[in-house]
Amino acid sequence: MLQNIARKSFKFRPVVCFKNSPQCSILPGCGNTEVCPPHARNYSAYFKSRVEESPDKYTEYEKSFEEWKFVEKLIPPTHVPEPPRDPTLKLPSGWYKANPPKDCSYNIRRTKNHMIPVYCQIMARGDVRFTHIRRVEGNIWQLEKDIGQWLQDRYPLKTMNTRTHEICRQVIIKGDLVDDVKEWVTAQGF
Amino acid sequence: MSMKSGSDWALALLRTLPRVGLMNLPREPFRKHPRTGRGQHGGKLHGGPQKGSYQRMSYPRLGWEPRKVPWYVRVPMENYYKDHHLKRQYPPLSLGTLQLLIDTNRISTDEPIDLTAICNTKLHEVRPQERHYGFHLTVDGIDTFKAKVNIEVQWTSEAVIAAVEKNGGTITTSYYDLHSIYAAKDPIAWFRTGKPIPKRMIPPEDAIEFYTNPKMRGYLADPEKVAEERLVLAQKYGYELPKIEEDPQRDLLLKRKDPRQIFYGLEPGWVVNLRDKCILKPKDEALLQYYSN
Repeated sequence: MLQNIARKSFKFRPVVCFKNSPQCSILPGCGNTEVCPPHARNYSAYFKSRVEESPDKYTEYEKSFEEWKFVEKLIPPTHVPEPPRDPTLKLPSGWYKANPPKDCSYNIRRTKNHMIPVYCQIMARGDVRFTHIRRVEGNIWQLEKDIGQWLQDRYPLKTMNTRTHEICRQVIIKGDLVDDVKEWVTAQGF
Repeated sequence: MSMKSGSDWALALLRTLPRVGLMNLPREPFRKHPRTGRGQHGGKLHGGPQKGSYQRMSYPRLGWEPRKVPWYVRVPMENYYKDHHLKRQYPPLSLGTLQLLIDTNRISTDEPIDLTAICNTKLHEVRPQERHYGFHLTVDGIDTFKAKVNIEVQWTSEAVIAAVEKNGGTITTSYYDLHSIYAAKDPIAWFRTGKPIPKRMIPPEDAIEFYTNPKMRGYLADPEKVAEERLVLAQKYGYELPKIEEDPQRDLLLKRKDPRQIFYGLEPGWVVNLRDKCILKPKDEALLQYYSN
């Protein structure tokens, strides 16, 4: 008879039990398939139930302290690692320690990851592009004049539109000129 | 067993019910597609107009389908993006970026570089929930790559292999299944959950050719054939192959993981206790057999 009931009940859809449904008699989740009485179904009883079983229900294991050195290698550093300190050191990737000129009235600080803060802002699906020089300190208008003049000399047929954002300490240039600006910044030593 | 209450009956019923599977899942009850009428039950026009060709007693044109765009007008379907959500993704990592990471002390070349070392820089990440199966080492910055490394990536190209081996390093391509990627991308978060280190699965059918290929330095390839292919590649690209056997860093460069292993020095099945700084190794025969297989 049970087989018949099973066949009939599976004629349309499988029965799905949710944790909240009052018909559910099996506690879902965590591989716990033990059938619980109805009073154990509420959440407070579920979360107050013992997480650990008695030790005889678990398999045996042994403790080892020798392999901990391999785990230590997997722990990521909590701080950004210190890069090489020598400004004259030439690295294959082109990275160098910032060595700004002494007599310059402005400065471009490196980011926390020791990179040059020059970024491209893309708007309107790439039709509008701006180059941002961030973290400018000192005479921001002098920097705008210098970089604008240098870019104008490099591209004489184009009109270089530059502006400053004093509050955010940025110099903004119209167009995607990240590579050119980075070349100038590295030439200055910032 | 005596049946006392309705819940007992329900439980007994549950025991006899078959398990839910693809074989016993019924179809979703949906409305039947309305069938066009036949004969006197609306079979005259078949969805076409009463006027026009019917009134003039000319038959509909060839290829005409009622209520549909004709097949010769339909836009041809090119399934270029078919199943793109199921394919394996390998986020790129260029050689120039790798060199920059090494120069700024983000990655140490004193240790073998693998997925965990790259993810631990916190600058590059894999997202297994987006089906990222590891890093693809690309050729950008190949001219300025000077590091001597023992690196393990998940996908690469021939030129990259030549660039790494020219500098005296070694490269391996190895497969991680998604479950292993979850452990490998952030091992400390994995250990904190108390789960054992998972067993790395073998590659799927369409990837096993790549990972057993000695030309691609697959981790399942024969080491002797890999050594032969190193020489072949050196002759193809025209550089002198540095001898690893006489290298002072020989042990580092020849360090390889077991095909089932995710972390160097740690075996699958072990549980790492971060509080007591110890490792719990299972003794059960069934577990040992499962994880060693």
